[in-house]
Amino acid sequence: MNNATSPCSDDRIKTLLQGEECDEAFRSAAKHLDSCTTCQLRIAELAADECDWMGCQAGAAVGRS
Amino acid sequence: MTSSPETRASLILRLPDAADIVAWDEVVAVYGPLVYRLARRKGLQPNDADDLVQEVLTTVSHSVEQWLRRPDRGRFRAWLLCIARNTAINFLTRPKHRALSPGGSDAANALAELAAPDGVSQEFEVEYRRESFRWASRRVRESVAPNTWEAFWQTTMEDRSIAEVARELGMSAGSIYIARSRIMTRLRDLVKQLEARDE
Repeated sequence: MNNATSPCSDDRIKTLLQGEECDEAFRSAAKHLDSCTTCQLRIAELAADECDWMGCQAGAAVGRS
Repeated sequence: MTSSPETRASLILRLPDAADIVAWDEVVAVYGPLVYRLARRKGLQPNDADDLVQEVLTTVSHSVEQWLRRPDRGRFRAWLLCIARNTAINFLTRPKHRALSPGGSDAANALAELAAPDGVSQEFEVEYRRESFRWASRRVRESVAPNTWEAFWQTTMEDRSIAEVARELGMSAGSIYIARSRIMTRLRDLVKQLEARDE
């Protein structure tokens, strides 16, 4: 998964988090993400840890009140 | 465009300059609602809570230069809480509020709660984290396309399935995963920047 040449490498997923949407590398990784469950889970892990995701939900619950 | 963490960290240092509108706007945007909600939770009426916010911010503006010179000053929000607490006690002991409660009023109850600083401090910390999220959310939402924000909101906050939201928004599943993760990264970074500013 961390082999840089693998379609599921962290480097490729980080391109999706930080890269420019018009770049070819971004579009290629985005297309792969459509159908790769491993990368779908991994992109959430690389974006933030579980506490951040849960804390975000808690903050939003109050934000709506 | 979002400023760098270094710039954000220095905002507190800019507060002695009352003419620094950018620095003061951010302090008012983050800490004003924080003090307001705490005041409301303690039973103050909306108008009184507004007045309390004004008094707290006025005190901050008068004292921040001196506070910044203190080597043991600690976090900005801890100092702000101390001011808010003292101002609230002062506020509630004024004749107008004492008169609210013959024989054990709301004001008296609020005073008793404020006299227990640990509880107030915990509440303030929780409110601070919620306000940080709201502040960061407003920033991010303004800077992304409506569909991108909606993809994040529906799948993260409303806990709806990726496939369902993708169909509804006319986006691919991959685009939804990217949108929600990019927004989460930005929210997390902004909250960290806010934290760094407060150190």
